[in-house]
Amino acid sequence: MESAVKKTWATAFLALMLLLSLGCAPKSQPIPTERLQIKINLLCTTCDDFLQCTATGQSASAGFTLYRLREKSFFAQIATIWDYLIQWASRKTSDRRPLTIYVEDNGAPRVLVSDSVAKVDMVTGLIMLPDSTIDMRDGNWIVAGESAGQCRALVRRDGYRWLRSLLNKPLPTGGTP
Amino acid sequence: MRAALLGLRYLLAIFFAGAAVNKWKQGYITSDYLKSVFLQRIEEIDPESFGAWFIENIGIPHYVPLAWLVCWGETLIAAGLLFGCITRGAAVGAMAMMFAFAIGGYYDASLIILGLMFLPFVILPTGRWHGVDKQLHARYPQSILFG
Repeated sequence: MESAVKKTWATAFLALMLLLSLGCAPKSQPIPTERLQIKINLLCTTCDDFLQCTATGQSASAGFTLYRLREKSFFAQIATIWDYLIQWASRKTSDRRPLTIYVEDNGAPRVLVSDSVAKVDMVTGLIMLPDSTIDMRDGNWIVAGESAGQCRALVRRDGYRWLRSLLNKPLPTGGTP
Repeated sequence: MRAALLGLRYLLAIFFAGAAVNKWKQGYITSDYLKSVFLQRIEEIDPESFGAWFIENIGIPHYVPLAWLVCWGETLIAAGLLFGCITRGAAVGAMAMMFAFAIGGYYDASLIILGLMFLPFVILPTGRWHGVDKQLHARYPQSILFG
Protein backbone atom coordinates (compact mmCIF):
# COMPACT_ATOMS: atom_id res chain seq x y z
CA MET A 1 0.00 0.00 0.00
CA GLU A 2 2.77 2.38 1.05
CA SER A 3 4.82 1.62 -2.05
CA ALA A 4 1.79 2.24 -4.26
CA VAL A 5 1.37 5.69 -2.70
CA LYS A 6 5.08 6.39 -3.18
CA LYS A 7 4.83 5.28 -6.80
CA THR A 8 1.87 7.58 -7.39
CA TRP A 9 3.72 10.53 -5.85
CA ALA A 10 6.83 9.76 -7.88
CA THR A 11 4.80 9.61 -11.10
CA ALA A 12 3.04 12.89 -10.26
CA PHE A 13 6.40 14.52 -9.46
CA LEU A 14 7.91 13.34 -12.75
CA ALA A 15 4.87 14.55 -14.70
CA LEU A 16 5.15 17.95 -13.00
CA MET A 17 8.87 18.16 -13.78
CA LEU A 18 8.16 17.26 -17.40
CA LEU A 19 5.48 19.94 -17.66
CA LEU A 20 7.77 22.51 -16.08
CA SER A 21 10.66 21.60 -18.35
CA LEU A 22 8.37 21.94 -21.37
CA GLY A 23 7.20 25.34 -20.17
CA CYS A 24 10.71 26.55 -19.36
CA ALA A 25 12.50 24.97 -22.31
CA PRO A 26 14.41 27.61 -24.28
CA LYS A 27 12.34 28.53 -27.30
CA SER A 28 13.26 30.67 -30.24
CA GLN A 29 12.67 34.28 -29.31
CA PRO A 30 10.31 36.45 -31.33
CA ILE A 31 11.73 39.50 -33.12
CA PRO A 32 11.16 42.60 -30.95
CA THR A 33 8.20 44.57 -32.30
CA GLU A 34 10.24 47.78 -32.54
CA ARG A 35 12.31 46.08 -35.23
CA LEU A 36 9.24 45.26 -37.30
CA GLN A 37 7.80 47.53 -39.92
CA ILE A 38 4.55 45.53 -39.93
CA LYS A 39 3.32 44.79 -36.42
CA ILE A 40 0.80 42.03 -35.73
CA ASN A 41 -0.43 41.45 -32.20
CA LEU A 42 -0.71 37.67 -31.82
CA LEU A 43 -2.84 37.98 -28.69
CA CYS A 44 -5.40 40.27 -30.27
CA THR A 45 -7.92 37.88 -31.72
CA THR A 46 -10.58 40.53 -32.26
CA CYS A 47 -8.21 42.53 -34.47
CA ASP A 48 -8.56 42.85 -38.21
CA ASP A 49 -5.22 43.59 -39.87
CA PHE A 50 -5.07 45.05 -43.37
CA LEU A 51 -1.83 44.67 -45.33
CA GLN A 52 -1.66 46.60 -48.57
CA CYS A 53 0.90 45.25 -51.05
CA THR A 54 1.93 47.15 -54.14
CA ALA A 55 4.00 45.69 -56.97
CA THR A 56 7.45 47.15 -57.64
CA GLY A 57 7.25 50.18 -59.91
CA GLN A 58 3.52 50.56 -59.40
CA SER A 59 1.76 53.15 -57.26
CA ALA A 60 -1.05 52.17 -54.88
CA SER A 61 -3.45 54.34 -56.87
CA ALA A 62 -2.88 52.13 -59.93
CA GLY A 63 -3.57 48.93 -58.06
CA PHE A 64 -2.72 46.79 -55.08
CA THR A 65 -3.45 43.55 -53.28
CA LEU A 66 -5.02 43.82 -49.86
CA TYR A 67 -4.53 40.98 -47.39
CA ARG A 68 -7.01 41.06 -44.58
CA LEU A 69 -6.05 38.99 -41.55
CA ARG A 70 -9.47 38.65 -40.05
CA GLU A 71 -10.52 38.34 -36.43
CA LYS A 72 -10.69 34.82 -35.09
CA SER A 73 -13.73 32.75 -34.21
CA PHE A 74 -15.52 33.11 -30.87
CA PHE A 75 -13.96 29.95 -29.41
CA ALA A 76 -10.48 30.93 -30.63
CA GLN A 77 -10.94 34.20 -28.78
CA ILE A 78 -11.83 32.32 -25.61
CA ALA A 79 -8.66 30.24 -26.07
CA THR A 80 -6.63 33.44 -26.21
CA ILE A 81 -7.41 34.04 -22.56
CA TRP A 82 -5.26 30.96 -21.90
CA ASP A 83 -2.48 32.40 -24.08
CA TYR A 84 -2.55 35.54 -21.96
CA LEU A 85 -2.39 33.59 -18.72
CA ILE A 86 0.58 31.43 -19.67
CA GLN A 87 2.58 33.99 -21.63
CA TRP A 88 5.09 34.36 -18.75
CA ALA A 89 5.92 30.67 -19.08
CA SER A 90 5.31 30.03 -22.75
CA ARG A 91 5.16 33.02 -25.04
CA LYS A 92 3.13 32.67 -28.19
CA THR A 93 5.31 33.15 -31.26
CA SER A 94 3.09 32.11 -34.14
CA ASP A 95 -0.54 32.15 -35.10
CA ARG A 96 -2.92 31.20 -37.87
CA ARG A 97 -5.47 33.78 -38.89
CA PRO A 98 -8.46 33.61 -41.24
CA LEU A 99 -7.61 35.48 -44.42
CA THR A 100 -9.43 37.29 -47.20
CA ILE A 101 -7.57 38.65 -50.22
CA TYR A 102 -8.84 41.65 -52.15
CA VAL A 103 -7.41 43.36 -55.19
CA GLU A 104 -7.92 46.80 -56.64
CA ASP A 105 -7.13 47.39 -60.30
CA ASN A 106 -7.41 50.98 -61.54
CA GLY A 107 -9.94 51.85 -58.87
CA ALA A 108 -12.03 48.69 -59.28
CA PRO A 109 -12.04 46.67 -56.04
CA ARG A 110 -12.94 42.97 -55.88
CA VAL A 111 -12.55 39.90 -53.70
CA LEU A 112 -9.82 37.57 -54.95
CA VAL A 113 -9.95 34.85 -52.28
CA SER A 114 -12.76 34.99 -49.75
CA ASP A 115 -11.62 32.38 -47.26
CA SER A 116 -8.08 31.22 -46.64
CA VAL A 117 -5.45 31.10 -43.88
CA ALA A 118 -2.41 33.24 -43.09
CA LYS A 119 0.38 32.01 -40.82
CA VAL A 120 2.15 34.66 -38.78
CA ASP A 121 5.58 33.71 -37.43
CA MET A 122 7.15 36.21 -35.07
CA VAL A 123 10.44 34.27 -34.86
CA THR A 124 11.21 34.47 -38.57
CA GLY A 125 9.23 37.69 -38.97
CA LEU A 126 7.27 36.27 -41.89
CA ILE A 127 3.61 36.12 -42.78
CA MET A 128 2.96 33.10 -44.96
CA LEU A 129 0.08 33.64 -47.37
CA PRO A 130 -1.36 31.24 -49.95
CA ASP A 131 0.16 33.18 -52.86
CA SER A 132 3.11 34.99 -51.29
CA THR A 133 5.07 35.86 -48.16
CA ILE A 134 5.40 39.18 -46.38
CA ASP A 135 8.52 40.02 -44.40
CA MET A 136 7.36 41.98 -41.39
CA ARG A 137 10.87 43.39 -40.80
CA ASP A 138 10.97 45.50 -43.94
CA GLY A 139 7.57 45.02 -45.59
CA ASN A 140 9.09 43.09 -48.49
CA TRP A 141 6.45 41.26 -50.56
CA ILE A 142 7.89 37.97 -51.76
CA VAL A 143 6.17 36.08 -54.57
CA ALA A 144 7.66 32.77 -55.77
CA GLY A 145 10.81 33.44 -53.76
CA GLU A 146 11.50 36.82 -55.31
CA SER A 147 10.78 40.33 -54.16
CA ALA A 148 7.65 41.51 -55.94
CA GLY A 149 6.96 44.75 -54.16
CA GLN A 150 6.33 46.40 -50.85
CA CYS A 151 3.64 45.96 -48.20
CA ARG A 152 2.44 48.25 -45.46
CA ALA A 153 -0.09 47.86 -42.68
CA LEU A 154 -3.12 50.06 -43.13
CA VAL A 155 -4.67 51.83 -40.18
CA ARG A 156 -7.65 49.61 -39.35
CA ARG A 157 -10.06 52.47 -39.85
CA ASP A 158 -8.70 52.99 -43.41
CA GLY A 159 -9.02 49.28 -44.09
CA TYR A 160 -12.66 49.31 -43.11
CA ARG A 161 -13.25 52.47 -45.12
CA TRP A 162 -11.85 50.69 -48.18
CA LEU A 163 -14.02 47.65 -47.39
CA ARG A 164 -17.09 49.87 -47.16
CA SER A 165 -16.35 51.22 -50.64
CA LEU A 166 -16.14 47.64 -51.91
CA LEU A 167 -19.43 46.72 -50.21
CA ASN A 168 -20.99 50.01 -51.31
CA LYS A 169 -21.89 50.73 -47.69
CA PRO A 170 -21.10 54.37 -46.94
CA LEU A 171 -20.59 55.39 -43.34
CA PRO A 172 -23.71 56.78 -41.66
CA THR A 173 -23.64 60.53 -41.29
CA GLY A 174 -25.68 60.67 -38.10
CA GLY A 175 -28.69 62.36 -39.63
CA THR A 176 -32.27 61.24 -39.05
CA PRO A 177 -32.84 57.85 -40.76
CA MET B 1 -14.93 33.04 1.13
CA ARG B 2 -17.78 35.39 2.02
CA ALA B 3 -15.37 38.23 2.66
CA ALA B 4 -13.67 37.67 -0.70
CA LEU B 5 -17.00 37.65 -2.53
CA LEU B 6 -18.19 40.76 -0.75
CA GLY B 7 -14.87 42.43 -1.58
CA LEU B 8 -15.35 41.55 -5.23
CA ARG B 9 -18.91 42.88 -5.12
CA TYR B 10 -17.75 46.24 -3.77
CA LEU B 11 -14.95 46.36 -6.31
CA LEU B 12 -17.39 45.77 -9.16
CA ALA B 13 -19.76 48.33 -7.63
CA ILE B 14 -16.95 50.91 -7.70
CA PHE B 15 -16.16 49.93 -11.28
CA PHE B 16 -19.78 50.55 -12.31
CA ALA B 17 -20.01 53.71 -10.21
CA GLY B 18 -16.92 55.09 -11.96
CA ALA B 19 -18.42 54.30 -15.36
CA ALA B 20 -21.72 55.93 -14.36
CA VAL B 21 -20.04 59.08 -12.98
CA ASN B 22 -18.10 59.45 -16.22
CA LYS B 23 -21.28 59.26 -18.26
CA TRP B 24 -23.10 61.81 -16.11
CA LYS B 25 -20.08 64.12 -16.39
CA GLN B 26 -20.00 63.68 -20.18
CA GLY B 27 -23.66 64.68 -20.35
CA TYR B 28 -24.75 61.43 -21.95
CA ILE B 29 -28.46 62.10 -21.58
CA THR B 30 -28.40 65.83 -22.19
CA SER B 31 -26.26 65.90 -25.33
CA ASP B 32 -25.55 63.92 -28.50
CA TYR B 33 -22.32 62.58 -26.99
CA LEU B 34 -23.39 58.94 -27.39
CA LYS B 35 -24.18 59.53 -31.06
CA SER B 36 -20.63 60.81 -31.63
CA VAL B 37 -19.30 57.75 -29.76
CA PHE B 38 -21.29 55.49 -32.10
CA LEU B 39 -20.21 57.42 -35.21
CA GLN B 40 -16.60 57.03 -34.16
CA ARG B 41 -16.99 53.36 -33.26
CA ILE B 42 -18.64 52.35 -36.52
CA GLU B 43 -15.48 53.36 -38.38
CA GLU B 44 -13.47 50.96 -36.22
CA ILE B 45 -15.44 47.76 -36.70
CA ASP B 46 -16.11 45.31 -39.50
CA PRO B 47 -18.88 46.80 -41.67
CA GLU B 48 -20.28 43.29 -42.16
CA SER B 49 -20.55 42.54 -38.43
CA PHE B 50 -23.71 42.52 -36.35
CA GLY B 51 -22.20 45.27 -34.20
CA ALA B 52 -21.96 47.58 -37.22
CA TRP B 53 -25.55 46.77 -38.19
CA PHE B 54 -26.69 47.44 -34.63
CA ILE B 55 -24.90 50.79 -34.37
CA GLU B 56 -26.16 51.93 -37.77
CA ASN B 57 -29.78 50.83 -37.41
CA ILE B 58 -30.42 50.97 -33.66
CA GLY B 59 -27.60 52.85 -31.93
CA ILE B 60 -27.38 56.02 -33.99
CA PRO B 61 -31.11 56.52 -34.71
CA HIS B 62 -32.10 55.77 -31.10
CA TYR B 63 -29.16 57.14 -29.18
CA VAL B 64 -31.33 59.16 -26.78
CA PRO B 65 -33.20 56.23 -25.13
CA LEU B 66 -30.00 54.17 -25.23
CA ALA B 67 -28.11 56.95 -23.41
CA TRP B 68 -30.82 56.99 -20.71
CA LEU B 69 -30.65 53.20 -20.45
CA VAL B 70 -26.87 53.10 -20.10
CA CYS B 71 -26.61 56.06 -17.74
CA TRP B 72 -29.40 55.05 -15.37
CA GLY B 73 -28.61 51.33 -15.77
CA GLU B 74 -25.02 51.78 -14.67
CA THR B 75 -26.07 54.08 -11.81
CA LEU B 76 -28.68 51.66 -10.47
CA ILE B 77 -26.42 48.63 -10.87
CA ALA B 78 -23.64 50.44 -8.97
CA ALA B 79 -26.07 51.39 -6.18
CA GLY B 80 -27.54 47.87 -6.02
CA LEU B 81 -24.13 46.23 -5.68
CA LEU B 82 -22.79 48.84 -3.30
CA PHE B 83 -25.71 48.85 -0.86
CA GLY B 84 -26.69 45.22 -1.38
CA CYS B 85 -30.15 46.28 -2.51
CA ILE B 86 -31.91 44.00 -5.02
CA THR B 87 -28.41 42.61 -5.39
CA ARG B 88 -29.25 39.64 -7.57
CA GLY B 89 -31.23 41.91 -9.89
CA ALA B 90 -28.30 44.35 -10.08
CA ALA B 91 -25.96 41.49 -10.96
CA VAL B 92 -28.34 40.20 -13.67
CA GLY B 93 -28.52 43.78 -14.98
CA ALA B 94 -24.73 44.02 -15.05
CA MET B 95 -24.43 40.75 -16.97
CA ALA B 96 -27.12 41.86 -19.42
CA MET B 97 -25.31 45.15 -19.92
CA MET B 98 -21.99 43.41 -20.62
CA PHE B 99 -23.78 41.17 -23.12
CA ALA B 100 -25.48 44.17 -24.75
CA PHE B 101 -22.15 46.01 -25.06
CA ALA B 102 -20.57 42.92 -26.61
CA ILE B 103 -23.21 42.44 -29.29
CA GLY B 104 -23.60 46.16 -29.80
CA GLY B 105 -20.23 46.68 -31.42
CA TYR B 106 -17.92 46.66 -28.42
CA TYR B 107 -17.07 42.97 -28.39
CA ASP B 108 -13.91 41.95 -26.62
CA ALA B 109 -13.03 38.59 -25.05
CA SER B 110 -12.45 40.32 -21.70
CA LEU B 111 -16.16 41.22 -21.58
CA ILE B 112 -16.93 37.50 -21.21
CA ILE B 113 -14.73 37.28 -18.12
CA LEU B 114 -16.09 40.55 -16.77
CA GLY B 115 -19.66 39.35 -17.33
CA LEU B 116 -18.98 36.04 -15.58
CA MET B 117 -17.58 37.88 -12.55
CA PHE B 118 -21.15 38.93 -11.71
CA LEU B 119 -22.44 35.34 -11.73
CA PRO B 120 -21.73 34.62 -8.02
CA PHE B 121 -23.93 37.58 -7.06
CA VAL B 122 -26.80 36.13 -9.09
CA ILE B 123 -26.40 32.68 -7.55
CA LEU B 124 -25.57 33.56 -3.94
CA PRO B 125 -27.58 35.80 -1.56
CA THR B 126 -24.71 38.25 -0.98
CA GLY B 127 -27.17 41.11 -0.39
CA ARG B 128 -28.44 39.23 2.66
CA TRP B 129 -24.89 38.63 3.90
CA HIS B 130 -24.17 42.32 3.88
CA GLY B 131 -26.62 44.84 2.58
CA VAL B 132 -30.10 46.29 2.64
CA ASP B 133 -31.51 43.02 1.28
CA LYS B 134 -31.12 41.54 4.76
CA GLN B 135 -33.76 43.87 6.27
CA LEU B 136 -35.93 43.84 3.15
CA HIS B 137 -35.93 40.05 3.00
CA ALA B 138 -36.94 39.91 6.68
CA ARG B 139 -39.84 42.24 5.95
CA TYR B 140 -40.84 40.66 2.59
CA PRO B 141 -39.72 37.01 2.79
CA GLN B 142 -41.84 36.01 -0.22
CA SER B 143 -40.32 38.58 -2.57
CA ILE B 144 -37.77 37.29 -5.04
CA LEU B 145 -36.24 40.76 -5.32
CA PHE B 146 -34.48 40.56 -1.97
CA GLY B 147 -33.74 36.83 -1.92
